[in-house]
Amino acid sequence: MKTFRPVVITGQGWLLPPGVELRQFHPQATAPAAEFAPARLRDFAAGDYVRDPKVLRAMNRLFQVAAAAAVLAMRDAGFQLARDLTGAGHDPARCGTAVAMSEISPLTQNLLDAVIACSPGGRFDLAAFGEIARHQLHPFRRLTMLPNMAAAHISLLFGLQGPSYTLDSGITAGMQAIREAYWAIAGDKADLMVCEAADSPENALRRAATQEAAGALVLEAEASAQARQARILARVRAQPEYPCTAPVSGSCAAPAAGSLLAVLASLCEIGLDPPQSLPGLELFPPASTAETVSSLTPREGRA
Amino acid sequence: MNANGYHGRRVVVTGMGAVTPIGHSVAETWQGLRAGVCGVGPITVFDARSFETRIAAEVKNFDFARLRASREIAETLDRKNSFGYAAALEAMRDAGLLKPDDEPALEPSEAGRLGISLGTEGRRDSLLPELAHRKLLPADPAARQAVLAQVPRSEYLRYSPYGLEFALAHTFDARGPITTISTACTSSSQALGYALEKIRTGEADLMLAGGAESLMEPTQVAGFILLGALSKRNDDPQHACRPFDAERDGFILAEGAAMLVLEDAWHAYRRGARVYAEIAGFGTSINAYRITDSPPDGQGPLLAMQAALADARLRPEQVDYINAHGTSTMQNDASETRAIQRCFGERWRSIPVSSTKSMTGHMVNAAGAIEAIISVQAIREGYIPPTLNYEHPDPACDLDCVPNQGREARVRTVLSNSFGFGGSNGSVVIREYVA
Repeated sequence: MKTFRPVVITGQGWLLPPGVELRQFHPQATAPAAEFAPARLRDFAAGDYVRDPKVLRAMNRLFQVAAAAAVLAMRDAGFQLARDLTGAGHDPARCGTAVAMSEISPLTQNLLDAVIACSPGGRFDLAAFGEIARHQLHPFRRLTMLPNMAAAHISLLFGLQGPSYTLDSGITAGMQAIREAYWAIAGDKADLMVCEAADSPENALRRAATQEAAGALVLEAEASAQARQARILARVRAQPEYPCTAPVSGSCAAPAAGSLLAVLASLCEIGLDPPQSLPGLELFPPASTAETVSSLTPREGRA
Repeated sequence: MNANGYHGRRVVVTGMGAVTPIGHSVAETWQGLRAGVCGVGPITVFDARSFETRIAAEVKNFDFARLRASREIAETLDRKNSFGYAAALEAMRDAGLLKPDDEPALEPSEAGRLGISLGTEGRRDSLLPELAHRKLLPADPAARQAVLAQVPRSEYLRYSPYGLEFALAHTFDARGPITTISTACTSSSQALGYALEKIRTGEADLMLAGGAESLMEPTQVAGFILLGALSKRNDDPQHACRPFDAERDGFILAEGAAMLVLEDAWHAYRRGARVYAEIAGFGTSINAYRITDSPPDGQGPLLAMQAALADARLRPEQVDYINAHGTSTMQNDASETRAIQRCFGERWRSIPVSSTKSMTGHMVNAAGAIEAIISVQAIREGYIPPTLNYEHPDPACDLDCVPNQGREARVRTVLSNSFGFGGSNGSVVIREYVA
């Protein structure tokens, strides 16, 4: 029988709009985030997180917000650049990504403009569209529609080459992504996994119902974290019997990011005394640390 | 954790279903592959005369009316989901999991042990042109947004990535692990990997895994044309998809679906199920190279292949056949060749590597699943399908790519590759099942 490797959380990052608190995403929240009016991030500048303008052009707002949360989490875990991973003894081939994405609306303003231009008298002219699309549609349109581009961008930023998953199953995707990251490490297929998820009304079909939010976690093999003397925020364990259908609080307002924000609420707002149990996941305090988890305050993480 | 341990459970294939450009079932598709039928032709689903690429591999003469679904389910069945639904029905019937009236045969107490993992994407690009065509798009921008905000539920489910997941879970009463994976051309390969893990870890005994695809929409085709990814051999569609050939010029969009029933081997034995093959291992990686380009050194694909072999506890010399990703783009085929050379060492020249996309076209989100089925069939039938249209050797793709003629051969173990836009990679190891 194979022994499972212990897994810990070593980094966290999130972005929430003004007026929305992290603790509202905790499963036991008295005022769940779903009850709050959807809002957008304020003063969000993607260039603060992704410096290459060419890469930024290939990202829609959803990918930018997701990447920002992941960058915050990686910085929190002690990784500013790709070379920091190898410097800390990590093999890029054993560092991966697990991403939860909500649906990405194809109904962009760019497409709308092209369709209107091809609809003289209000009737869509397909032959005209073939010509106009060549010049008016965004050349990277297809790339901004692919859910796995969020994983592609963060892997490019940090040189992650290991297991990579993008889950697209609505309000359960966030917890599934954390669990896949957990199993990749516990099953010895990876040493570090970046989990990220984001929601943005700009890229949602149901714009009126979607909160702009993003969350990210860095999961790491405990042995790797200890070897590089990383700060351990929590020990984590996937519950073995999990039907993968249980949503967490806040998942209506932020369907993809809700689960990650629930974990972050436990880590940073609620604390791990007693250990926290979320649908599909258990969180425990670090085995030994000079800093109690409940006293942790995020150094970065707000937009 | 699981009392059986991570590798305590073996996972076998007990059912298969497919709808492809060369057949409406697994049997028809396999027959087509053996006969060297190519499913590529002019686009007929919409008028593509003004498009630079006007060819694709469409599913022909599909009888949508034969899908007798409830009204609630039928609402989710657009073109893509209809193919997926038909393939899933075939796979579940084939596995003996449906009664003659297509009601679930599993006891209700077992519903929690049946899961679903799908490789697909949500898309409804045509919604805008359709609304415009029906004169439902107002000129005023604010009014337009109001129209779009009122997208009906049925339209939303057809659009959403999990519409098919919803339809299949309800039809088969599946209440176990259910997910949808969207990693472009690697999606359904990863769906198989996900299903493998769920059975190994004991979270499920049975998983319906596969993918569904249809990109036959003007906006989708336009998007791929803008990327420069599609073949422009409009005058010669039957020879347009030519993987590993020096004169290849892009891939051929295809549509269809493929589904497999994966099952814990002991569970299959107890219920007397027919076992086709074993899913022995899965590996995944991401390139971290460029957003659209394949790494010239094949590093990402190499990592996926090595991870799959390690997961299956096999050495490279134990692989008898590679079902390649082989898209027929200049970059992919050269990158995959380099990865195979690095993975297989001295054996790279002699191991048969074929791309069945030369016949089916590239089914994108469903590609990994249909190629897994073809790999299972290669093992069962002792036949390696060819790479069609191979005429001009390319030194950058100097493989034994089984050119133009299939081969009778003893095939015990197959490695099936899928590599996607964005650098997502997946490799599945399928082998003959020996109890």
